Amino acid sequence: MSSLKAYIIFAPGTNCERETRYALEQTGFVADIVPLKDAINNFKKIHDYHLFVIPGGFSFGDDIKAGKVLALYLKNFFFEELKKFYEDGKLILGICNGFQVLVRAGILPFFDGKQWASLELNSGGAFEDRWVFLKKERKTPFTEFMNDISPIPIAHAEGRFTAGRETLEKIERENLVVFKYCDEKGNIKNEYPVNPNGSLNGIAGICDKNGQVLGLMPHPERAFEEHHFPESVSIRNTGKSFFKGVFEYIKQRF
Amino acid sequence: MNRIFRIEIVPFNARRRDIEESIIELGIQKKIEVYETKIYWIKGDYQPDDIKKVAEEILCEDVTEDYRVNQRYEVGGNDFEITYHFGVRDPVEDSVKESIKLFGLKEPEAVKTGRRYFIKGELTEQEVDYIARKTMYNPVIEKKGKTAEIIFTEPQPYKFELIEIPVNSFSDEDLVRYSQEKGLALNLEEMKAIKRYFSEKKRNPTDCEIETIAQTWSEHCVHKTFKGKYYYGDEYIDNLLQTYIAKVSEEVKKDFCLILFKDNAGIIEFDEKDGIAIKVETHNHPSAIEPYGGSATGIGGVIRDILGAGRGAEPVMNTDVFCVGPLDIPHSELPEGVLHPKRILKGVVAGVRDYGNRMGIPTCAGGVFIDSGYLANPLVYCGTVGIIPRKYIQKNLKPGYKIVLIGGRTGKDGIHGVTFASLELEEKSEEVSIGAVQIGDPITEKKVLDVIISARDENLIEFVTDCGGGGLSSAIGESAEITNGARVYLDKVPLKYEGLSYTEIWISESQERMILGVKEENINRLKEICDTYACEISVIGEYTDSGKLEIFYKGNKVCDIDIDFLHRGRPDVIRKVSRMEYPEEDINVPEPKSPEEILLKLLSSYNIRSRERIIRQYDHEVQGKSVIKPLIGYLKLSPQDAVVIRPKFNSEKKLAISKGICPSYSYISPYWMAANAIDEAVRSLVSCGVNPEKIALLDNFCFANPENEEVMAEIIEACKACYEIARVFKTPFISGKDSLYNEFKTENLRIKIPATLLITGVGIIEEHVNPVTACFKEEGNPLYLIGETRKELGASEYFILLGIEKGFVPKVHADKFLKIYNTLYEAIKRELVVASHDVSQGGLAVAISEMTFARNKGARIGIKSQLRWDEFLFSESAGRILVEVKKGKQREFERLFEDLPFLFLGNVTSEPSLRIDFNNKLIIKLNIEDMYREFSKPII
Repeated sequence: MSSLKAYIIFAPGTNCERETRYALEQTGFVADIVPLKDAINNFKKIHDYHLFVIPGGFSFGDDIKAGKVLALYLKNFFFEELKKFYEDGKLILGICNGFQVLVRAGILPFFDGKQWASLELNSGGAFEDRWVFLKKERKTPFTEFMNDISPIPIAHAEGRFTAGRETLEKIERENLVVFKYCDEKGNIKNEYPVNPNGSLNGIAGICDKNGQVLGLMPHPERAFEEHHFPESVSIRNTGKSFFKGVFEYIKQRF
Repeated sequence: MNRIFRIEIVPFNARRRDIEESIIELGIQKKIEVYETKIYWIKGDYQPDDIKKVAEEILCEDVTEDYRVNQRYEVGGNDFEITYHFGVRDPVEDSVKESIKLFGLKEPEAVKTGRRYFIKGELTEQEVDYIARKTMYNPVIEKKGKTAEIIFTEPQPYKFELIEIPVNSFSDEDLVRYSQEKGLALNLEEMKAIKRYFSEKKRNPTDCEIETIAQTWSEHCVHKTFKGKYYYGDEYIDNLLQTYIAKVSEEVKKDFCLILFKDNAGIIEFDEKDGIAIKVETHNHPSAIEPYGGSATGIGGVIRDILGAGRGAEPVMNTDVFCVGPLDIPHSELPEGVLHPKRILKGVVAGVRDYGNRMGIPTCAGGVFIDSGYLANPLVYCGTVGIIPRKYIQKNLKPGYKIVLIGGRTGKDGIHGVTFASLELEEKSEEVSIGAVQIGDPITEKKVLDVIISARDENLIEFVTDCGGGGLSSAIGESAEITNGARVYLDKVPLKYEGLSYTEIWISESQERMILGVKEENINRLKEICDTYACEISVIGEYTDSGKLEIFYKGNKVCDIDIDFLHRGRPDVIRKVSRMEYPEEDINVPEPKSPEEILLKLLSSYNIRSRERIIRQYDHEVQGKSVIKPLIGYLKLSPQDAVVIRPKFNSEKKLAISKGICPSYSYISPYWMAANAIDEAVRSLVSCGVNPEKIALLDNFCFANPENEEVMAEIIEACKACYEIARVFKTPFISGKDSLYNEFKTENLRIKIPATLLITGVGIIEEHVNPVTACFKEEGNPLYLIGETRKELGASEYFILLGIEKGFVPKVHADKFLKIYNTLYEAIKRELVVASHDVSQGGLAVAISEMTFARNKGARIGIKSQLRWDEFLFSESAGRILVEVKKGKQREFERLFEDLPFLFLGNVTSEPSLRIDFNNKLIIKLNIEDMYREFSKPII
């Protein structure tokens, strides 16, 4: 059995933990779902793991703002240990609600505890579940095996990436954008539904300067099995290559 | 010292263009701008610096927002604040309290939230009021004021006083009046039975006892209409459910049925290890007056039914079907007290969306049906499917087990919901039934789900049921029948706030609560699990075998009724119903000039056009189990008949869910309405690859007031169809529910819903069968229509378009159809069929068009028939399926169908257009693009 371990944090309202665990296990990880209460009691355990995952869902009902309350927990109880975990060269992944948490906890993009960007209500004004295409903008452990253009579903109400002009320029300049929404041919367009939520610059996912922390709105765990993909889409390996990248990166180092 | 701080959050972009659009929809032709801010009121002992920190770190995000403390933001215009009525639960309050604690500050004594609107434009006071009520808040749950001042008034604590009702001295008139005044929905016979019972006991009942009996005997809980005795023409029918529904299941004896018509849901076999639990409910009356809260608590309730199936099933899918009035009706034509159908539909969709999505359960099957009969009584069907290890499907409740309440707290919300559901709606329902509406809190229910599944897997749960209609009185009253007794201590029930009387605690329908039956030795471990998932738990009593339902409040006995009387003391409904005739006649319409125009109109008709706007709002892919989704394709989408999921990650076996609903046909024949609903549900399953031998059905009857003879006759006719059709299909019913009194009455207006039966079909797709979707796959593949097309256009979408109300409705020849379905299953198993779509609303022409969208593949069709082109193309004859067969497999396919009716139609083309020749004459040539433009017009 593999000794590479993934830690999936589970808060009240988290709801994508099972399929995320399934994808990780299929990739070769031992994956544990840890309720928030247990995590608070002993977060030092995180150092037995190699990957920290905040899965999708509606943590604490997304009250106040999406992911806000869990982000406050993260800042309060986990920030220092996560920083150590990160400095050990390990990986942190936030999917959908997890991305919202990472941004609100000030882990992405600069890991300084300050919120620089935001994920706001979709420009369409409501929750939306649809398949989109992602263009890979840079190399990270997460994208190593991915195609340049990947079909993947989104399912969120608050996914419109927003930041002040200077922050946005800095994010682009420092090459922190990992994924942008694009059409089937890879053209990045700002129009709906290619850019499904009105994100600035079509940003779907960003990372920290080392590429060790990734947050993205789309769900790679829902683009994992053949049967997840829509009728007319021929590329069918998005999720498998995504998680393979994570696994191989960790395997080479630990 | 405690002070109240008002923090107003101002988004950089506070303009609400969506509300402005809704105002235009109201028909107000003025230039209007709307702005919105959020308000938090925090009551506590804080320094200004603390509050600054709370605002900056918790409530306001400086990337996109600004804030004001104790200072009002101004943009001008007419402004007002919206807050919840007292007692309506606002989950955000808890999250704010929790967040403030995380900051090391004292927990606030209270938190309230609200929003503030600014309307700019030249409007009168009345117009502002009207706009606000129609687009910004719902007076049933919220209040509007220039400033929200009285928000922290707390209710008076409750002082115990035992209330006895002197029924023993009541005349018949008094009895009826008392039932009406208290909204008990009990008739004279029932009230007399109660009087008799207590006279024998030589005492008067307490209010709690009368309420308990009213809840237990309500139509909603006991289905007295369906269990009644009827003289129908020259027939005598004792119990409709037994005679027509349950009898099918007895006769067809399918051993894949594990739990039938008992428990909270039907359960069928999935594989050797697991079963599938399924239940469909309605939440009609509350949704009519508060659509958002009504549908949210509807879906929340049926999810709890699944959590409460066996010893706990895990939800894997939700379904929803909505029936609403015409979406384009002018506001001026709405009866007083009736919400616009568009507002209702938007509201109920948002309710299911916000509840289902937050629960992490994919809502992926459903439908919308539009008919003027639903104007005042929309129907909201919500269903949930769950998976449960077979070792946990049997409940095991014994005397001595503790009664445990988990989940949300109890408040005054939802008092009298079930008796409200057993009465007709009227103008004033909006005002009088405030208590009957509840607001959902999905995160609390998610915690309940997490606790139940964990506890079940540790074998800590012997019994579980949901607290739904009737609250504790139903949940405990019903389960007490199993052990023959229960003792409950109402003061142990955690309350949201002070001021509830013992009876209010007992009958409150506060959401997100479940009752468990637990062995004493397991209580501590259960408490630990609840602690892990932050879910509240209380032991509130125990099950006994005393023969009595005994309830105490602070040491006082407030209820002492014999279980036997409670469950078997209700007088039967015995009625005479005249047999009704439903004649049909042949209608000939003049031949229309433009076939293309009619097809395009049908594609954009409200009953056919794409449901994309709704389906996209649902997280239909969460849990990662979807195989065939409700929309197929990527940008252009074909509608799918049945949806398919893979409920277990490690098994290739799949589960398909379909629906059948044909209410228009009931205007001509309630019998054939029901028959067609069954056929549609079965056919949709077979068309995607389900084995016809492995199909089970759920029935949900929604009818008008059964005290009307004509309505009662409709019910009986529909029940007969259920028996006569389903037994031939050999499809057992496993669960069902009814909702009656869907009628709206004012002094000079009566609107009754059309007789409506929703059939939900559930079937298994075996590991070795590849499920088939409903869109064309590859050019050159031959197309066939299986089944017979007759001149059956009565109540078809085509006739509705022409404004014709008569004609022959489609007939269901179940024995012939079953042969076709079995043969189609064989063809799918042999992989001869690559696409398959049931032909239903709009007929063949619509079915073909729909199949072109997903892959942008066209079709070239040639038909020869005795029927006229419009009769053939738009007939809704049942039992028909349109299939695409693999090239080179025609021979094998045709040989398989040798003795059955089928027709070669033409081929799939790469050219993106549909061409139909009829009797050698070109009648339709349309681009897919043009058809899709009509089909994809938004429904809401």
